[in-house]
Amino acid sequence: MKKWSTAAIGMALPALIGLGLFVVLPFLLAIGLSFTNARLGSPLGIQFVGLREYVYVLSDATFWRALGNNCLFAALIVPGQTALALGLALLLNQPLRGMVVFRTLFFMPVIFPIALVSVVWILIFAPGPEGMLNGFLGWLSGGAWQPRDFLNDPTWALPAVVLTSIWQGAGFQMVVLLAGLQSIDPALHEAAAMDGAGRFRRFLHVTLPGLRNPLIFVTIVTTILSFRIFDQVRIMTNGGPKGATTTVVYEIVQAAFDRAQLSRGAAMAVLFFVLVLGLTLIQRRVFKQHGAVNR
Amino acid sequence: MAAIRFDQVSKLYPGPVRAVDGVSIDIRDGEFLVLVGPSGCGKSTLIRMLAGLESVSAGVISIDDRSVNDLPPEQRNTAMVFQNYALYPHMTVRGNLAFPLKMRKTPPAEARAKIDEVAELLELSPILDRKPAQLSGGQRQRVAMGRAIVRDPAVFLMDEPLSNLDAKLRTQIRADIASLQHRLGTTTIYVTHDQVEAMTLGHRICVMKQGAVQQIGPPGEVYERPANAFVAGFLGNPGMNLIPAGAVSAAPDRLELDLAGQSLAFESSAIPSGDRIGSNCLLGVRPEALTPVKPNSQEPQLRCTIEAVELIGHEQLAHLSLASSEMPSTPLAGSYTDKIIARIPSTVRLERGSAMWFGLSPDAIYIFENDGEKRSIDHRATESPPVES
Ligand SMILES: Nc1ncnc2c1ncn2[C@@H]1O[C@H](COP(=O)(O)OP(=O)(O)OP(=O)(O)O)[C@@H](O)[C@H]1O
Ligand SMILES: [Mg+2]
Repeated sequence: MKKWSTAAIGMALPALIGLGLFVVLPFLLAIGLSFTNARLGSPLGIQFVGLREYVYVLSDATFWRALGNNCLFAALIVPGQTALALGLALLLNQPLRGMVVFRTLFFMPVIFPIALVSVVWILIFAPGPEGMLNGFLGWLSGGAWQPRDFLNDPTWALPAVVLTSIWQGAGFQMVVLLAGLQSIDPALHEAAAMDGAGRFRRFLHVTLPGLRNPLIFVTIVTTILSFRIFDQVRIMTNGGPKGATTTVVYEIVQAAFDRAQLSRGAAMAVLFFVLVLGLTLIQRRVFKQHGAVNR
Repeated sequence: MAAIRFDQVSKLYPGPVRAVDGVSIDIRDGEFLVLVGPSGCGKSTLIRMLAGLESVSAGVISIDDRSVNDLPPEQRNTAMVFQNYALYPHMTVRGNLAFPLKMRKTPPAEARAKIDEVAELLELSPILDRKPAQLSGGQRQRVAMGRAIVRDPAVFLMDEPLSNLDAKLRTQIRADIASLQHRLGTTTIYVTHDQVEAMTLGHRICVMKQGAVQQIGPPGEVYERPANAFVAGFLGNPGMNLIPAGAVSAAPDRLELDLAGQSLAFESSAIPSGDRIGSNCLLGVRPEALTPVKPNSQEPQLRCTIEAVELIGHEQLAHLSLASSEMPSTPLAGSYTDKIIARIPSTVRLERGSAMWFGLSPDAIYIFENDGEKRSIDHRATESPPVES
């Protein structure tokens, strides 16, 4: 072991202080709060109540509903967004003129704030035949489409939020995958072609393996992001209708700030942290077994 | 097995860059052709067009009398060894060797036998289960060769396949390639920058310059009877000395040259007489043909000043100039200077700045026209000059 020099510690200190102040401390506070009965703005003193809040949360149907929704979001967003991003990256990797324009266009949703994106999609999903999507589907089906209120329909609300999320997030993944595509040695494609592989088999045997690490990165990040979904839900559906789109983070915010149950929010946050951490570790382990991470 | 024909083949890149310019070459079935030329002369472009990796702008490329201009690479049955090997990084050595067989739907049992055979041939058996990242440069090179030969292609294309290896390994694999090609008898086109590879590997050498073929022929012939000054200066390490000279005498059977003030007279029927040469020509002489002699006014001799000496093992390269202390060198036109290199046994003591005399035997000198073409005025050619088209 090398001894840490004072200079090294001095240089690392600002970052470490920031990390401690804004990440570690709040998290430790949350753990601490989760074992109390703290309420937001309550004049009463804080008491240690042990695992009471955890027991409550784990027996609360809304929490399980939110967690289930989170899984559903991840199950729809991760494959959908990755496939879309891969398709876009493949299209935008063509050596054609003006590609930069298209790349910029498809990346644009990423720099829009999600609040703005949500408002735009609320307009698209507007109920009645005047709603953009309803109108379009009506035109497409020659009037056979029954206009519906997507965001207030228990079956359609979650897919609607999923669509919004994918639209906003795909651009980022696309850029990552595009960089991955461009780092594949063109000679590999040429060698595969001369070895007798047509377009599709070149994609299968050269492109996909070459994109392995970017795909893993993108999958892990998207999984975490889709478990953290909050803004779209808050703005577009408020978790409704009837909890159809609620998520764990949405429930945490509801508990802590709308119902002032600070300790309950903290308990949920800790549970959720452990869950997402576990999920990420499992994902990393799975990918590592195939010898792709950290190479 | 295949015969290849390039018929007036050209390649235009946008720009426009004429990378290949009206090339016509006939390559016999089983022949080993070496393509040489300076960087950017279109060697890679030419073989990539044959492989189908570049489109053909004009002309016809045919394999066994069948035009392949419009065939995609996967239908041409050519195999290439790339300069960086282009091994599939996520597959093992076995996977790399199996890939071309799998793509051609070879039955698994047959494929396995074929892979084992190739692995045996190239000594790959102990490393079959490794990935390319776990191999040395020489092993990667052999895997790339293996992947090319495992499916018995009609044509092998190799684009500087040894340039990433160290000198020792290069010598060894060079010999392996020659014997392998001999054994398999597959038509092969081999691109190289290396003089030794060019001279030793192929049945014929094709020298290119700016997209055009300068000369094709057996290595010895191209070396002995270069079609023009470019070929003469390109082959050999270092290449032939090309010294601008003025032709003074125009009498039959006599040639008198003026080299920066020095007069050289040749009286021999072996030398083209002055009347066949314009007033300007290039005198060509190989570095190894310059032998130091005692000054003697009877014979044609060059008086040079030693500018620098490079010792390379058993011999040394003397960099010479025609200038002498009494007579400063006259500036010479064109890209050729009066810089001359001689290859001398290292037993001879050379001293910088001192003068030296070299005898010029009429058999050892070449005369090239000093016009744009710089064509050889070859006194050794009995019939037509050795240029094929
Ligand atoms: N894709 C391209 N677009 C435009 N010009 C190109 C392209 N590829 C090659 N060229 C040009 O074509 C000419 C021939 O290139 P080529 O790669 O065939 O040369 P080469 O003889 O293989 O050279 P080297 O020995 O350096 O590999 C060069 O002038 C090069 O700049
Ligand atoms: Mg090249």
